[in-house]
Amino acid sequence: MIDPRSPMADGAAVGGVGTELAKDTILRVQDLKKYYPIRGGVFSRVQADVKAVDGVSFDLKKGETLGLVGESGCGKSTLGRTLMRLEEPTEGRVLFEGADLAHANKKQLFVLRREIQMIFQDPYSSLNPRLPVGDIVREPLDVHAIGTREERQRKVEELCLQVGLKTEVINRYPHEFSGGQRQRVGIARALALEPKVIVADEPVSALDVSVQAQVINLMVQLQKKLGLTYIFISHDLSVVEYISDSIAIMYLGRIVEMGAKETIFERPTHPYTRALIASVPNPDPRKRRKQVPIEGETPSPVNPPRGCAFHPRCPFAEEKCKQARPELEPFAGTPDPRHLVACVRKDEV
Amino acid sequence: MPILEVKELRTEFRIEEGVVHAVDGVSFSVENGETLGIVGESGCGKSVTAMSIMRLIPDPPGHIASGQILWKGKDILSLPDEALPDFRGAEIAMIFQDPMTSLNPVFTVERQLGEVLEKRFKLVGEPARKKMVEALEMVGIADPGDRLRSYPHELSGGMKQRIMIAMALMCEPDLLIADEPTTALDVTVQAQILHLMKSLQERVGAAIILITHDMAVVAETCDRVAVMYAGRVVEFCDVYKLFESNRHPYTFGLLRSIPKEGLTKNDQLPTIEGIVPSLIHPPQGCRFAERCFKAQGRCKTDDPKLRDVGEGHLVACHFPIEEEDR
Repeated sequence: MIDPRSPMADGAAVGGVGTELAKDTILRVQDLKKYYPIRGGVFSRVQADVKAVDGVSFDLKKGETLGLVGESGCGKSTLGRTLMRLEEPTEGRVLFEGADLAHANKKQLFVLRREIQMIFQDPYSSLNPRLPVGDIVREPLDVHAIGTREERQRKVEELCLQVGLKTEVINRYPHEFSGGQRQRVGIARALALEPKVIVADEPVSALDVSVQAQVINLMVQLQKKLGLTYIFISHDLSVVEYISDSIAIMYLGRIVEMGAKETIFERPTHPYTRALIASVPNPDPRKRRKQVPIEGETPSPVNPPRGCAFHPRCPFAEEKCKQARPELEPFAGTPDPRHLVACVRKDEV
Repeated sequence: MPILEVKELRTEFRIEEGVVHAVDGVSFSVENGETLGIVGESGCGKSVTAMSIMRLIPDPPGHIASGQILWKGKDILSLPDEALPDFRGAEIAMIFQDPMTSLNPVFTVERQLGEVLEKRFKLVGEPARKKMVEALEMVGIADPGDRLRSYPHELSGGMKQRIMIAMALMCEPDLLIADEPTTALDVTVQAQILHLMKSLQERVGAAIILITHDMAVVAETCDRVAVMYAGRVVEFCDVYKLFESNRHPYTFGLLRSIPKEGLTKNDQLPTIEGIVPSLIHPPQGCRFAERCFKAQGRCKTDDPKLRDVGEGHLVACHFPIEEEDR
């Protein structure tokens, strides 16, 4: 999580030293941008950009879970993929232990990838169907040439047990597994290199509720045991509320509000955060909503509204909201010192 | 008298590995004007039940093996195939999870809505157009005239689902079956669509069968609920009983595994261990027994029937949840 009072490490060497982070900060994302060009015309010139991620900054605290929340097209998945360098960033820095992931060369990246791993949404398509599970889990160890063959094999068995799979599964193929078991395989593979940070992109969204709870419990238990730091990307607010320590809400490529989990759920301040939380149906038939919390849909990121991107749907919008884009700034209206809100009317609403 | 009665429905699919008993003796009823929820996890048979009511089971590989589906007293299963096009849409309409694939991408909205009106009411030209504009207005679409000229790819997911609802309601059906109508939509749009369905229901008085995996959506919209597990209805009751005094251990476990407000990761989430049984060789006895914390010897041999445990609350369990289990 970001501390707005901590000085940003400016003038630091790209991918090098001089990127001192606060002691409990494991990862810092600085003004990260990912634009996709739209080409057209006879010479397929770049005509515009889709600003999927448009200037995102935050600090990730060691051992914490940051929940990254937003609706489809808000850029949360692109942000996850860009900070992992699965997508080339357009601009910005991702500082991790004195190095800048965003500008690291191939060799540096190879080393850094051991420290940051990813878990994907769809356990059906993220595992190679032609490989037995043991090979899938062992692959990162092979690629990084870690240990002897026997040591690797032992490590694979250990990993399987750690995620609640029996060692017999090593010779079986992904199609023989249920969705929940496949996600366990994905987690085992992500843990193989003993990473410090895991970016989990909708890791339980494809799973049934009862299985979802099993995988969430596993992730929490592994975090406690191994001291992992998570970025947990999800559209499901009840899951995010459960697993996160702090939360960032995204809308059209930008973070609109960020703070401790309790702050976001008990004192949501940005009008979008409020609408989002109010839209989640309550599993209690006596608490039915009488009216629709918010009208309209997220506009296209190809041509986002001027000023605050949320202003066309915002019940509090006034003239100034259409002019300048609000920056993510500390909000003093709550006791949370890390509470940030991007709304010019945050003190009034 | 209920408007729809499903009795001992069995729908099977023949695949290489054997016969999948997707729906295996399902019974429930829908009253006029009510919203009935059918809830369960993937593979429980909730969508196959809906497809069976619409007579949309692809044959082969599927077929309805036995049972009755009484629509206003008449068995849908004995309708000749020629009668089906008039029955679908006019009497019972259906909307699907994915509005992206339910509209034909090469035709405008006007052409697709027009086709429906022509078939159902022999309505063409200006009167048809007037009815279309009205229908789009009713589902909250701005500039309906412009939207009629749009192609599906020009519309957002929420807009497409509104058009599907408009199309279904234009036919004035007495029952609307909505199969995961908001699962593909964002949560703010989901709230809009659920609200729309409820307010239209009040206006036109149609009954709704809402199929969903989301218990919170059930709480938000349904009057009565059927919980399905492995091809069977395991619990059937009103929505308050479901959330406050459910009796089947599966329902109980399912509701407990939803992260509640105020829980943190220091509280372990209750789970249901294990996985659903094979529907090709379903276990003898209760299908949930292997995962059930209350299971005893007789559950593994003796198949529990759906029975009334009081005030029309139906449960298929030998040892239903008691107060001390909660």
